[in-house]
Amino acid sequence: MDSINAHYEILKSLTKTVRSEDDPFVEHYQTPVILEILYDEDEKFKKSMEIFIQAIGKAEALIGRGSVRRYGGFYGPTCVVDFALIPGSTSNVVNRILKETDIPKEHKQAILAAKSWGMNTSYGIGDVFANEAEKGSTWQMRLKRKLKW
Amino acid sequence: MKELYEKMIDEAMAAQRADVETVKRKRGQEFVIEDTKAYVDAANKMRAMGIKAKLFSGFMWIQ
Repeated sequence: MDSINAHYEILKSLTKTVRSEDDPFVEHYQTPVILEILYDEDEKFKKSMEIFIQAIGKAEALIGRGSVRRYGGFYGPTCVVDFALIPGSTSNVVNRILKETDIPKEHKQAILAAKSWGMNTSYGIGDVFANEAEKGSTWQMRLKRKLKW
Repeated sequence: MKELYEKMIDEAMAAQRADVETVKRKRGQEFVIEDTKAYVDAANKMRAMGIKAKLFSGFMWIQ
């Protein structure tokens, strides 16, 4: 009941309407909003997030390897949106990047939660890369587009 | 046990009716968050019985 009331009050305070495809009662559409609320609540968390975003940019080799492995079926059948950190999952790549990122442990946990159980969109690692590959773009171009995710 | 089942059905149907009635009334018009109020009200009337169960509402969507 608290959850329903919280959804109603928070959504009402954020917006007047939503498009049906926004599906606001599903977790991965809520996560970005929750993250924004967290930014307002805690400046330090926002800083950590900015550091993490920079770290994603620097993790070209790791993301490239993850994408190639997924596209090539290196891990066999895997679920990119697996919340456990199985090899080949998005959470796994996020976790590896976080390991090398110098931010408080609690912030790492929040980011990982947002990308695992919270999902934060249903995008899975390697998707842009795989689509680009099928479209016939070059490997370098594929990586470049991939990193924009 | 019969009492529990009746309660579950009544509450589920009340929530369902709240939604269906709203959709009927507002079909073709713009959806606004306030349209969900009828459902929220129905949910707030739900009560735990017997063992102190807490209502869990929410669902997980895996794509």
